[in-house]
Amino acid sequence: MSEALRPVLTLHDGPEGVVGVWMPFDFEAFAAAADATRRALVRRVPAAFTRDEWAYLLASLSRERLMTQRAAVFGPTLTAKAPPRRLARPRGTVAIWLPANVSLLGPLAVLATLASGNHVRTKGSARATDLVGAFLTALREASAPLVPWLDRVEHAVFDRDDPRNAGLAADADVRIVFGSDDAARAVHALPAPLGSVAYSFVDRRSEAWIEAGCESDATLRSLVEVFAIYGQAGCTSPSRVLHVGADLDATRALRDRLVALWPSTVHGRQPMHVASDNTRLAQWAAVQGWDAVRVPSGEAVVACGEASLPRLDRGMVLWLSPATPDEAFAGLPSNIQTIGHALRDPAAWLEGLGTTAVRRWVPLRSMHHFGWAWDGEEYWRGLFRWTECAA
Amino acid sequence: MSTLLDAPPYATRDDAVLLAELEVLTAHHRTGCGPYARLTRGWRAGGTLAELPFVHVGLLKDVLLRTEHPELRHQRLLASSATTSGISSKVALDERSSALQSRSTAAILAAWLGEARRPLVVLDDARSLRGRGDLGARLAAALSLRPLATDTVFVLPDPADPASLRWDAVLAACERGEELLVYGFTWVLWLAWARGSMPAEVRERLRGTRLRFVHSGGWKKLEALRVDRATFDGALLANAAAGSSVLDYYGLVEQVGVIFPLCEAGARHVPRWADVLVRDPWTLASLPEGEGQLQFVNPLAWGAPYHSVLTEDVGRLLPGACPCGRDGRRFTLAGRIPKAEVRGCANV
Repeated sequence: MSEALRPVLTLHDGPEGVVGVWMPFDFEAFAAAADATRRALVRRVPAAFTRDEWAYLLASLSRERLMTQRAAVFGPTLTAKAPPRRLARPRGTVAIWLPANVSLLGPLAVLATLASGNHVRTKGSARATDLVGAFLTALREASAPLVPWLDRVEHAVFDRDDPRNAGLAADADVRIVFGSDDAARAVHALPAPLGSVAYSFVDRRSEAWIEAGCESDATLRSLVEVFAIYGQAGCTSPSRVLHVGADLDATRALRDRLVALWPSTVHGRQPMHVASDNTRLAQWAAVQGWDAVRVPSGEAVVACGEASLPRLDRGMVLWLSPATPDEAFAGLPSNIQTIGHALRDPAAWLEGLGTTAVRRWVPLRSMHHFGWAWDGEEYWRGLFRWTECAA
Repeated sequence: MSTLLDAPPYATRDDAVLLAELEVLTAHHRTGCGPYARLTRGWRAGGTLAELPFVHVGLLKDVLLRTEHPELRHQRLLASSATTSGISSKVALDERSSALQSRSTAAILAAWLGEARRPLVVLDDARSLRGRGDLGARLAAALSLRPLATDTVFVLPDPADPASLRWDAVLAACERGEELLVYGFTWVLWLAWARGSMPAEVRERLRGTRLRFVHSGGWKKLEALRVDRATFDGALLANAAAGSSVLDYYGLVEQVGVIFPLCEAGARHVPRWADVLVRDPWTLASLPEGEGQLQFVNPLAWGAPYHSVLTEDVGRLLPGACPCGRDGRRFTLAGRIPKAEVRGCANV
């Protein structure tokens, strides 16, 4: 057994006192190996990933990021010995269900869970490219420094009706389900150990709120970048943009600026079927009454109209609507996740947030930047069993 | 009524006449179809064919477009086969357009098969014809051959089961003429006829009968079975009299009435009352050469604005004159736009 894979107890200066964290391996060695892996994999993008996806995934391997995320949960590491008030240790086995289109969240979830010191068992979908499998293969083929940790990961691809789902649930100390509400219900209905915990990352929508007067080019470029990754398919992508305090003419002007900025903000063209689908979506939007413009090279559609018009929650259409602050809050969907804001004084809006189900309230450019809390859920903390300690 | 229908399908034409008819139609639909008017806001007559607005074929899956006009009587809906997406396009048929479309198809098919009437054998089931629901693409294609038929017999009672082919009915049709028209979707014709269990008695009778096979619906399923055109044609003609033939045509529900047969030189021919453009999928520019999305236009569609449709099929225009001697625009078809999986979070 290498030194890195021996159990280590670290002490942290947590907000409620000293926390002891017992891990089956040295977390700092893990973070260093992840960082070296990032450097080793940076040159070759596996066929299963887009360049943007690969860059995003490799960024999550940064040592600095891993150390920061751990510190965010447990507090900074203490060098001097002190009696802990609480002891955290991995729960044991974490089972992760991934649906067909979960994309990067699969590999990201595996990495985060691996970093928690738990054993990881994942179920991928047989109906889509297996990004977790592709990621693990890329690590092994490159003999990446993280490979010694991969013995703690068990990955399989099977359908939702496969009896192995029941086995996965029966042995899991933690169940994490990505998918539709129905898929999550089905997994959580399976017999599971008493005392096990479950997290569901289901259908969520996000929005961007831009206040009139805050529409700088930098903000608009951030909006384009945030949206262009997965369009309506990303749970942290803005499914609509509210131009708060603006009227329809001002929103139309905003639309025109976005269309003009798009080609210089997003490089590389979309696949042919996306360009074609955008032609279709622009027409659908026009039929519904939206003033829709297809970006000249077909990467997206930017549609402007009243918020009451019908929208589609798929494809690369960015829906822009003027709204008053009250309308913005009143129109939030029940499954709202993130609001990415570009507001003069975001803190002034917090009172209004209190009555909503919003999980994340972040600057627009940070909509996709989440650490080890997803959907506002501190699931990573929940991967540990906590013990109260007193002298 | 289109004056272009008054001459044979592959005679020369004045492009300005076609454009003028298409612009009249565009204005007609803008007046009678609100969604189409919103879609074509800002359009003005007097442009070029490339400037004529089009409807993306996918929109016909999302929205039912129908043009209202006092002189129009709407009929059933024509539904596409929805093989790829699982969602059908819906095209609103009307009496006026149907008459033009029947005339168009009959003229095109007659130019390839001759005008003589003969028994028509259709590898499909006629039951949906008797219902009031949507008319499927396969049956609509079969019915377009009726002007060339003395009588029509449907011989596949279970279209999902190639073995259900009623060879006795085929044999009976042979008794009614020296030549038969046989229509089926490409893959149905292959599985039920070419690879079917043809009784010896039928085989013997067919060898003395001239068979005019007509098929449409694309090669996707046969490509999966690794069947190429030569194998397909050879298998069909193996049990047929001399002078028999196989005609492959491309058509789509969203351009009902206009079909594009494949000539011996490998080109798909456009009749004089229609046209084809190739568009860059990204910029939507009209491409005189190179591959892109096919757009078809025809002046036959009065009941709904499907007179100009941008398809999700990819092809290219062919330059110069065709070795087969037919005049007019022609193109090659490369297949569907390749699809890719949707990536995102768990919510789509």
